[in-house]
Amino acid sequence: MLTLAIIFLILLALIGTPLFIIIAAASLFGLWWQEIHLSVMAVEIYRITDTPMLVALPLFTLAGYLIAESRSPDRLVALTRALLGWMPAGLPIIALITCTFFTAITGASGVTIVAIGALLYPALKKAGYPGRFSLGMVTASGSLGLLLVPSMPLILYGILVQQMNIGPAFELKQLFIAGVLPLLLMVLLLALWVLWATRKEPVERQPFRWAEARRALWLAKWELPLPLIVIGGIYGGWFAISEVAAIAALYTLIVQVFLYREIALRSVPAIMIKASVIIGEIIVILAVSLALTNVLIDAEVPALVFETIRETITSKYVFLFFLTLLLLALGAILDIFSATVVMVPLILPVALSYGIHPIHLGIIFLSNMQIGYFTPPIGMNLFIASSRFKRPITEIYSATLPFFFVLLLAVLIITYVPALSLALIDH
Amino acid sequence: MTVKTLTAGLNRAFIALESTLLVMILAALLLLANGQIVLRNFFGTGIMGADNIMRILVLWLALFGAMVATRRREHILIDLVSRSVPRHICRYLERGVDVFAAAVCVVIAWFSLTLIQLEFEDATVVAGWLPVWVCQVVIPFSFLVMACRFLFQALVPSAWLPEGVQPLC
Amino acid sequence: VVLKIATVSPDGSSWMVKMRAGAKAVTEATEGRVKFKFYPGGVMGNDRAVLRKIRLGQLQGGAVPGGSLAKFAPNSQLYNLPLLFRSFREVDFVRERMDRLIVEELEDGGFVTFGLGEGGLAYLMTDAEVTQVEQLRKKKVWVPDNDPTTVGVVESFGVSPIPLSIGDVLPGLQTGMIDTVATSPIAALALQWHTQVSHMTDIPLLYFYAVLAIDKKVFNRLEAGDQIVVRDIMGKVFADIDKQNRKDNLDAFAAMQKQGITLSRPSSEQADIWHQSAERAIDDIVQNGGVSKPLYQQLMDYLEQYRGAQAKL
Ligand code: NA
Ligand code: NA
Repeated sequence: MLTLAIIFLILLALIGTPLFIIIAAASLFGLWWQEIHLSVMAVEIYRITDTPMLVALPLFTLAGYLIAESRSPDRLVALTRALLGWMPAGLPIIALITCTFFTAITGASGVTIVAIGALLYPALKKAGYPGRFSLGMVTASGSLGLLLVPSMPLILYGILVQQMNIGPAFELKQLFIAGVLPLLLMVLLLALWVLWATRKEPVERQPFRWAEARRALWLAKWELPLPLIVIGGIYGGWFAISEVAAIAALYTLIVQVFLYREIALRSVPAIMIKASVIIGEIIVILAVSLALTNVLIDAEVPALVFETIRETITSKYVFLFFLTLLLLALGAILDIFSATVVMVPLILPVALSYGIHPIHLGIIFLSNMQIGYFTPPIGMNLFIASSRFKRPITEIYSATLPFFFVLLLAVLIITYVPALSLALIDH
Repeated sequence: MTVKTLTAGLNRAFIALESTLLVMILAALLLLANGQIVLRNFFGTGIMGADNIMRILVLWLALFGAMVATRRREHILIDLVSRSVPRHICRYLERGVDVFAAAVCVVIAWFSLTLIQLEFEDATVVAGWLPVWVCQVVIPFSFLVMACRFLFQALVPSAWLPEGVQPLC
Repeated sequence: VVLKIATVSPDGSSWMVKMRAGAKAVTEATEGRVKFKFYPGGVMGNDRAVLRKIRLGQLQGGAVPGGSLAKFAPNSQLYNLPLLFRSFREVDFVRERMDRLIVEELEDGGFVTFGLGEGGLAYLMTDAEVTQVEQLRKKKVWVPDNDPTTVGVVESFGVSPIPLSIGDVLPGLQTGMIDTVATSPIAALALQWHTQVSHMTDIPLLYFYAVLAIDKKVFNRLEAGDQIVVRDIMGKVFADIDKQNRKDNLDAFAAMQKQGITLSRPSSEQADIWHQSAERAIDDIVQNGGVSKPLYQQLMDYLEQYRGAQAKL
């Protein structure tokens, strides 16, 4: 019966049933199977309103849509060409860095793809990078930055482990510092891949010229404050994260409608509705995923799977390998906060017994969660990219795969080279 | 006036109402969020419960957005098989999918009524005054609307497609 | 019978370790008739979501903060009144005499509990000395955005608090968006907020506690003998948790000072002003039926009795 239901749902998914219906149906079936009142489904949907930072998602999305509807991508291309045209792959590298900071701020809820990706994807294409490459890069970068402060999952992991009070003690600050080198490794490997992948499609390089730089800067004068407001506002401490989203949305609205005048005021409602559709899609999927997570946790599925791994494996290196597989799968299925809260208490004691430092474990854990977001076939960010860029999911799969393998390599290095995580914190 | 033009008119009116509400919710969110910043920076205070209310507005926004997505067939989905089977089979599959989706939505709408009843009995409130059940009404409402739309699309597969959106089959 | 219990305490925390040990003892003593299944770390949601799931029967209970059951037992908020207790000794004196009443009211409200588990006393923690109410009014005070009790306390001093979600607090303190938090030393240490403050005002703002609340309808379905076993064992667990938390609270209080945080002591005139403001707030709560007047009066009588005896010493 259970197997039958799973097969049925997979078939339904493959013939084009909306994803939220599939997840909802799976949750409803799970509730019914465990003889739990089906109204719990509504409790879980309503529970989305307890999510911290929820408000940032629609506001950043709105800002992203307004920017994408204007001629900002053109100005961004002109600006990076003028400032970084001398450098190979200047724009993709800027794109990677931008995504990293934005995800650190917003968490990996896919809002990076919706808000920033929608600016970067057309910009990359206009700058001459192949469409498929650009699509893959923007999708894969949507969760880069999970290891960087003030990423909520990173903080959650630290607090969780400290409260468990086992293993070597550490401070949150050490955990934050530990994430730096692994993150740099990921960005570096991605940048190398970008250089390699675009070697045959040479985007025209040009020497740096002051006059052109000045002109491009002048044209982008109203957009330049935006990254300063967002990144400076948070790291400089003027605003809370949810506040930055509010300011960014309002600022973008004013700039595009009244200063650049590239969006007519009367077309703003249509853009708001367009943005709301994808906000709705993402949040409804998050909400029904909470229900599915609830069902799986109620049935203690993650614990059972982990127990099986723990009991069959006796070597540290094999354990780490299976841990990677398990975390990738969980990262793709569960919401990241539930995954952290459920899995960390299970994994930590075992990891400690293998001599893995809790800080190193945290970095491993979050790196895996990060690539879980775009692990085919069910990583959430793949679907979000498909929806935002209106490309079939199969195209997203093939476009993202090279980036997936590059980051998987990074995760394996992070996993098997503890020094990368621990070097900076050894006193 | 025929039944057909009447339903078409009602449908248009409903869509207009839906769109207006959606825009108003997002605008309210934008104003409330920025209002909080002004209050904090210039008056050193904040609207109590505003954070809570904003998160509930996000739920409303999301469910209204999902309703629009159903109408415009813009849901996130895996379109692997549909593209590779003959057109007439695809049509059948699509109708089957729509009926299934409608059924799931009806189940959610129906069982969310129980939750609303419980909250109504317990008289729980948000932000000190807003009854929780009022906030939750959007759940059965939106899922019921989605159910109707899925069902209608099962009957009339090419209905409501906005310009530029390709039908799956 | 399997009792499914949710809590926000993470697995491996001392609460969970003790509750799991108690659960194991119950299962053994009832020969497997009563089992507990725990959902720690808030995976089932916050206390409101947990209460909904209890109503719908997915869960049978939860370890929840005392105030969250006010709907079912208004007087469960009695101890949460602002500036009620001035020391842990006062807490002990009152709790010894009144815990029973609260547990009974919770039971009438439909929840079986096993005694109160101490949360602690919350203090004001700031970046500068605060001994007077006026000084607090100049501060940017954070309160949890979903906790009307703490909001009420802070507002009673004429302070407009700044609500932020809990994840924004540490960055908020680091950057000066807020400079004051009201919380217990245990929480401040756990959440690393202590690294961002320099002073703690030596006036306990608020006492808080948690209970393990089990749906009475479900509990009554247990065999009579098993009910006694569960009450007995879980009662001991909670007494133990209560004692352990007191120790942790005192340790955390001392640790805060060892971390270089200065204790700001208001003079007795200044303290009187704090207490007068709080009493006005309490009057409002009692007038609005938040807690019952006779019970509040009874509590105040005990406090006066205690304070009188102390004064004579
Ligand atoms: Na993101
Ligand atoms: Na995930």
